[in-house]
Amino acid sequence: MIRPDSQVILEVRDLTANVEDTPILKGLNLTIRAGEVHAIMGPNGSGKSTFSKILAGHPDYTVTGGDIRYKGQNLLELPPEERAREGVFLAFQYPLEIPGVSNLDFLRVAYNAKQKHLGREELDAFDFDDLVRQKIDLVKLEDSFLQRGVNEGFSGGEKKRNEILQMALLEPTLAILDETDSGLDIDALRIVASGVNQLTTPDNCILLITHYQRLLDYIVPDYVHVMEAGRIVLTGSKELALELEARGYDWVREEEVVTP
Amino acid sequence: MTITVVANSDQADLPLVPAQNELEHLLALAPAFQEPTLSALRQAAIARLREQHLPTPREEDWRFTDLSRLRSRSFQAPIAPLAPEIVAEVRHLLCERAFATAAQLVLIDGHYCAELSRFSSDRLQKIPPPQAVGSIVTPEVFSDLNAALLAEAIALRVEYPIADPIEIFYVSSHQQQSVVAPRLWVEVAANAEATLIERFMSLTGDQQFTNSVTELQIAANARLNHVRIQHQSPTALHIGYTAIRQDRNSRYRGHAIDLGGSLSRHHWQIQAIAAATTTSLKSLAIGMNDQIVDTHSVVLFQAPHSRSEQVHKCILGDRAHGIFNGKVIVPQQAQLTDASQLNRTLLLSDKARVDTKPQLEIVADNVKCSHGATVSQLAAEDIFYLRSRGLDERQARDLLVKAFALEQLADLHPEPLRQELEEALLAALR
Repeated sequence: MIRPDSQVILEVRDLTANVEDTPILKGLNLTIRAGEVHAIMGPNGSGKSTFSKILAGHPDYTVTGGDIRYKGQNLLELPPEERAREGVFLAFQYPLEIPGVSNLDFLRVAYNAKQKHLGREELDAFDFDDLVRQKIDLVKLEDSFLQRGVNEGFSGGEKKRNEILQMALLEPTLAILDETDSGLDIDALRIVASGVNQLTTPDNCILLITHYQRLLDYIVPDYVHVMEAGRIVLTGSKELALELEARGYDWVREEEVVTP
Repeated sequence: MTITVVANSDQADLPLVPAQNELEHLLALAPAFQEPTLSALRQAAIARLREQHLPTPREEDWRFTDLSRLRSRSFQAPIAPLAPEIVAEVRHLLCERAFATAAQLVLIDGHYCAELSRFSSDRLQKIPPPQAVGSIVTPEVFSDLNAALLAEAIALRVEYPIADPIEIFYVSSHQQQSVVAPRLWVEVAANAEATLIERFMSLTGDQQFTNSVTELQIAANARLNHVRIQHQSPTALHIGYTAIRQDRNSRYRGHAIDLGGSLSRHHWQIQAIAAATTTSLKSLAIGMNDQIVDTHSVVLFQAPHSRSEQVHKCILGDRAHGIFNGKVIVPQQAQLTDASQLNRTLLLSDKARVDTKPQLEIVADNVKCSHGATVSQLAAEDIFYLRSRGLDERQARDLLVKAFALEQLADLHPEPLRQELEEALLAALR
């Protein structure tokens, strides 16, 4: 939902970044306000996933220029865990498996880390159990998934649903969904999308990173950005996604050449 | 970080240390009192030791285990056992048991402490050590040293299935720098079942050398669950030998946890003398600071149609050195054996070192056997995933290490013991 007067949550200016010594981001600009849903599309290797990992604070990426302000503060100064506690959430493209740690314990530790940071009450095992059972319906996972190791033996779709369950518990202000649609069949996609839609409020915002327009049928974006060679080269409304789906990315490249 | 996976034995040229006098020194500590039935065992052990020396890295079984911490100590003869103030300290150490036991036996510095021991089940008997004591062990220097220095042996017979565990505490005191040589014999009669918990502990400041031998005889159709916990002082030395003989259709399920000691070695030997036995070995060794933690195992099948499953895990931090040597022997007569063995090591520092040597010796041709060894560090991606959910780096590492360790305890009973161990593991990893 676009409200021009709502709070700016994320402001990225002239961001450049390297992986090892290779430049990946080359002057990226983006502003996201509360209540908005943005989608970044673009071909493989354009830097979409790099951008999402930089927002979450992945140590393998080095920011070489520009800045990122999140709710007015310098995001790049914060370690990943503080970003998370301040409300930045990255749903991973490939969520990791952690055998030996029960999903329930993991969710509780993560939830309580945030509660503690915000000076709120941490929940004991019993109270947390109640909370998680309310949230789990949102992603239609069986309770038995809570007792299993984190993502251990989960199917691709179950892992993505587990990511959205984490999102539901952590209630982020900025949720970044990195190719959350990849590897999902249509039923799983609907469940994930409906979960995300139910978590959208006027106070938070969502950044979808995706290859395909398909996800955007279910989570409707306010803005669609096209990323190419480390920059956002085109921004439009949700119709832009349909055009990309129909025409591919090549015309964007050509357009870029003619537009100064 | 040094990782060695040894395929075959190429021996470096090492100087031969004349070490006969070291053993003489230890033998001189032998106590006067001896169980009469065991005097033949003791005499034979002493005779063999007179011809031997403390192992050096020239011997294949001791190639990676540096015994200089044992060599550099001089040991005194134990003073009169069970001084009242020591008994009081041990009583304090053992206070508050969280689960019911069929028996609780306490040995202090190798001596049975009747005052702190009790039997709560008549399905279990303390018996005079039988002639068979010593027959399950394959004699080598340290089992012989145990026999030579033996003050008394504890022998138990389980006649019927017992639900509650038998818990045995071996406590080393701090009263002397001497050699403690406890010996346990347990026979589980046909069709009987029991859980045996052995715990090696220390009073603060223990600098003794615990040299234990445990022999477990499991008769046909019998079942034994065994938990062995070595949690001695960081200054203690520990070399323990657990020898198990399994008869037809018996089951042995063992957990071995090594947390303590400056130098520790556990030799775990399973001999399946008849068909259709089941064996499960789960062990975990944690080494921090400059601890040396060594696990040697031998699983020998002497009849067909048996199975064994073994997972040994090792977590090493700081400058710790871990050693694993696991042998599975499947001779011609042991057809249809199904045996697996896996060693996984997690290195938490660049200076930690592990030497791992899984060995399969298979002659029989119709068997299913596998073995493997992995050595890894915590994965940066795993840590990032957890940090991105609000855990700080320390919490993330702790959670991942805990997960690696606790998998070994998943099926350990009784539950209060598992919880207690979980806390001890986490404390050891801190």
